[in-house]
Parts: sequence; structure tokens; C-alpha cells
Amino acid sequence: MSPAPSLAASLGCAALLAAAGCRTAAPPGGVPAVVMQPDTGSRAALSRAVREALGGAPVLLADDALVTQSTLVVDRLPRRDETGLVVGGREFGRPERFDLLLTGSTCVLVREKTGERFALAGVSCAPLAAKR
Amino acid sequence: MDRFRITCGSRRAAAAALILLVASCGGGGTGGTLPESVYAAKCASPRSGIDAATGKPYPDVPGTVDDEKKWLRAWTDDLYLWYREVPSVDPAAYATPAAYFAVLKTQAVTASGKPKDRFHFTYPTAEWEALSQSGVQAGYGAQWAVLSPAPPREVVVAYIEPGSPAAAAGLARGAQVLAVDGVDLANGTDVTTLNAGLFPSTSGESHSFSILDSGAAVSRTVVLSSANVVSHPVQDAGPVAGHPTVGYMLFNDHLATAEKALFDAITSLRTAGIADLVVDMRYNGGGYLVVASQLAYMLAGPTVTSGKAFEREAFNDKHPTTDPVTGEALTPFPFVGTTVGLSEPSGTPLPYLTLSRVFVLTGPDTCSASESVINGLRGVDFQVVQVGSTTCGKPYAFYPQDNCGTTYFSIEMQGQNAKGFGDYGDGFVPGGAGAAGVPGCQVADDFGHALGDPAEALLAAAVGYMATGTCPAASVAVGHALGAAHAPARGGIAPKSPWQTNRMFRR
Repeated sequence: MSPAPSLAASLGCAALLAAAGCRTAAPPGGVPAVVMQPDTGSRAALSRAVREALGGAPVLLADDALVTQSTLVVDRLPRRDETGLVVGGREFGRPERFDLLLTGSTCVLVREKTGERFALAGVSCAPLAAKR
Repeated sequence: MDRFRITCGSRRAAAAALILLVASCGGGGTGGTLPESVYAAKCASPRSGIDAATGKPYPDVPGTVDDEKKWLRAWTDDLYLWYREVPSVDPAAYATPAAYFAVLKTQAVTASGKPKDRFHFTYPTAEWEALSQSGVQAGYGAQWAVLSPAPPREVVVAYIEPGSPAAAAGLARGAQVLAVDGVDLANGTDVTTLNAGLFPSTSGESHSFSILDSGAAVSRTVVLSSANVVSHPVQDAGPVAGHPTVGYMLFNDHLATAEKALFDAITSLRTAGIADLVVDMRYNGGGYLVVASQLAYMLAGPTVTSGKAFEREAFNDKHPTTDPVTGEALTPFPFVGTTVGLSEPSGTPLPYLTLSRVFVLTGPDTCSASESVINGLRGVDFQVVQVGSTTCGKPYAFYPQDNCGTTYFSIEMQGQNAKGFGDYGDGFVPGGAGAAGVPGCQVADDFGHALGDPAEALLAAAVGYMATGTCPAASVAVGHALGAAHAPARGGIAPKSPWQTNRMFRR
């Protein structure tokens, strides 16, 4: 028998939290923050959180993502046609934006568009002002 | 991205709207084709699971290849800008929907003899949906200019991203690639190795290059390791050396991060008190239209642009007043005088310059939103002087549309300025005649000098034109015919993404 939906969700959330981020576990509030001592693990956690927020599409991040700024802007990966020109070139929309917050000792990634919050396990953060 | 999400994520809703539209028009298909909604998402190989673009289950249901082709025809008949010019062909003659789609476009040519529609293609949806931090791509940070993709091939560095592996290796504009991983670039037959080395698809790849630096007599070997490189869309903003009242700004991409970069650059140029400005867009293929509008505002200022349209998007005559995909009323895209939250907080007034004209450096890579800057300014009678070579000629836009795992790109809109002009499918021509001719000078790209160097041919021509109103002797004078203006300059395409690499070089 499968666990009840709420229990399954909690278990799944706990598993996700252990691996990367979980929107339901993220504490409220926080101050703008940046990533401290980024490494492979923290980059992977950040990438997974962004993927989860955006429906699972793969996302390429810079090695120093959120290291010097507390805002992350995510776009479609640039594509070119076979002549080398930008596939679109005239875009009308807006990119996705995320803010990194530090609340207590937890790094939280917030999707601006929806307010969804993703706790980042294994990522060390510091307030933006302190870093500077 | 919102735009794409609306398109891909609300196709069902859009399809429902199309039923109404088609019904009101008494049928929208050619040869009795039913509305696209009848065939949408009926797939020969339906996908299962969650659509990353919407976060919802894929809408796919079992169907046939014929269903997919019928959807393509119905969709084309409704939304394609030149739907009347699409030939009637037998779908059964094409093995795949993509092959069928390839012929569902106008066969007409432009005045210069180019295909009228050069922007009709497909992309695997799973790849198209991939995301990246704004301006981040795997590579070396060297922007190659492919001057000749076929033997004898020729590739040089167009520019370098600061802080990139290429910068660390000392590569600079004008450096010529002689060999890649031991394969002769000019005449080697192993194009796979050439493409793989020049355009790494992931970070962490190492490849060996034989490089002849600009002005050097002897080549050197450089090993480059790819990384996730951050693009800097605006570089080198400041007065031109020896010309303190002339500003220069290299603008390479209408990225989200360009909002802040342009804000800072224009602020700096304003503080410097420049009286003329040269905006170098020769490698700028476009991007966010709002960034183009913001730049145009910052160049022309509020007096010239207030209440004016920067660009209007015109669909085909079936959709004169309403965007058929979003369902929203068609309203002009304004000159935007504030930040909009791309990379700066929303609502901050933009800085602007008090110029009477702007000099724009162009080439075949100057495309789409970059061309909108030129067209939008000309639409409000702000003087644009164009120096370089003819732009790419893309006054068009589309909503990429997924169906059954393939994303289709079919021109749906033409961008027009405040005067209603958008017919520059052959590009803007410096010194050219006709409506797409722009005052200025035809000058070939000059890889022998750094960008922003007053000795660089395009910048030198622009500065010379400021002083004398004439072009340098080696360039084409103002008023030359379109045909002459299309004589190939030395400028080659400067591909910025690895995607097209396996098609970049030919045997």
C-alpha cells in the first residue's frame, strides 16, 4: 500500500530537502544573501532548486552564480539557427528571477514571479552586505 | 520567457480561441482544413510525464503522423505571416512532419534575390526548453568570426569575453585559428574535430589550437579549456581615445543583464559629456525587444520619444487587432523610459543622452532587436548614421510552438516603426538607396584593430563622417545602389552558441 498523499508529500519533501531544496520546508523572511565558498555540491543544489522551480528543464548556471549578487536571472539557453543567427532575436517576455535570502541559518531561494521558496541544503550563505 | 511560456503552456487555450477566430472567419484553412485545435497534440509518439515548460502533464494523445501534418497546415494557414503564399503540396510526399513543415512557407524572394523567409525551422522541444543563467554558455569566451565556412576556411577572433579562458590565454581580436586539435582549419577534412574543438558543448573540455595572433609572424599553440562563461553584453563604454566628445559603446547582446549594463554605460557616457555616440552592434543578434526600446530611449531622450511607438507588431490580415496567441489587443510597443526588472529593479527612470543623432556600427550579425533600434529611431525622425555592412534583415518575430515534441518556428509578425515601416527583409544598408537605405558608409569589418580603437575601420569611418559628412575613400559613398551595397564585406557570421556547430563547417 502506498503512503497517504500527505505523508508521501512529506517524505518526498524530506528527501528533496536532503538533496537540494524544498519549497514547503523553507522558513519565511530573510535578508538578501550570497553564496559562500561555492563548490560542486552547492552548485548542484542550486541548479536542482532552479530546475524544480521551473518545471524540470535543464539549467546551466555560472560557477559563481549568486556569489557576488543575490539575484539570479534565468533565461532560455541562447540558440542559433544554422546560419549562426539568433533563433529568436526579438523576444517580448521576461526572464525568470530568483532572490537568495538568508533566514536564520538557512539559504532560501525565492522565485520572484510566484513567491515560492526553496530551502537550499548544503549551501552556505552570508548576508549580502556582510559579504561586501 | 513569459512569452514562450504563454505560447507553449497555453496552447490548448490558444487553440480554443482559434476555434472562435476561425469560426468567426468562416473557416481558416486551405482546402477545407479544420482548425488546428482539432489536430493539436495528436501525436504519432505521444510524450508522457511533465512538460518542463508548463509544469503540467504533456497534452499529447495518441494520433498519427498525418494528424501532425494536418495540425501544421492548419496552424500555418492561421498564423503564418504570408499564409497566402504557402504552396499547396501533398503532405503524403513528406516522410515526417518536420519535412512537411519545411515547405510550408513562402517561396518568394526579396529584391536582392534572397529567400523572403530565411527564418523557418524546427527544434527538438526538449533542447529548446533548456535554460541558462542569463548570458551563460559553455565555451572559451572567444567570439569566433567565421569568414569562410568552406575550404579554404577562415576563422578569426571577433572579440573576447573578459575573464574568460580565452582572455586568460591571451587571445584577442584578429587572432587567426590555423588548426584545431591537429586538424588544419583551412583545408582539413575532419570537420567533426574542427567543430568539436571550436564549439565545445559542455564545460571542462580541453582542445589545442594553433593560433596566429594579429600582427604576429609566428604561430603559437594554445590549449583552451571550456567553462560556463558569462557574457558581458556591454563593453568598453567611454570616450574614444583622442576624441573626448565622442563616445563609443560595444553592445553585443540584448540579454536581460543588458538592462543594467546599458543603464550604467549611458550614465557613464552622460557624465563624460559626450556630444556624439557610436554604438557598436556589429555582432549583436538581438534579444529582448524591451532592451532595444530602452536603448533607443536612452539615445533619443524623452522629448523625441514621448508618446511614440517604438515598434508595432503586425500579424497577417486574419488578425488585424488582436494577438491571436495571447488574445490580447495589439498595442504599439512604446519607447520604454524606465527599468522593467530584467536586471535592475523596476520603475527606475533611465538615464538619457542629449544627442541629435547616433552612429551605429553594423554587420551581417546585426539582427532583429538590433535592427529594431535603428528602425524605431528612424520612425521618430531621430537621425541614425550607419557604418559597416548591411544588417541581417529580420523585421520578424514568432511564437515558437511545440507540437508532439518538436518546436516549430514560423514567421507570424512583422515589426514596424511609428511610421509603419518594416520592410527591411534585405537588411538596412549603409549608404544604400530606397527605404532601407540609411545614411552612412559601407566599410568592411577590420579585424586588424581592437574594437573601440579609433584606428579600427568602422569606428574611424564613423568619426570621420562626424567631422566631414563623407565616407573614407576605401568605402562606399552614401547613395550607392542596393546591389552594390550588398557586395560582401569581410565580415563573417559570428556564431555565439555551440548549437549550430556541426553545420558550421563544411567539407
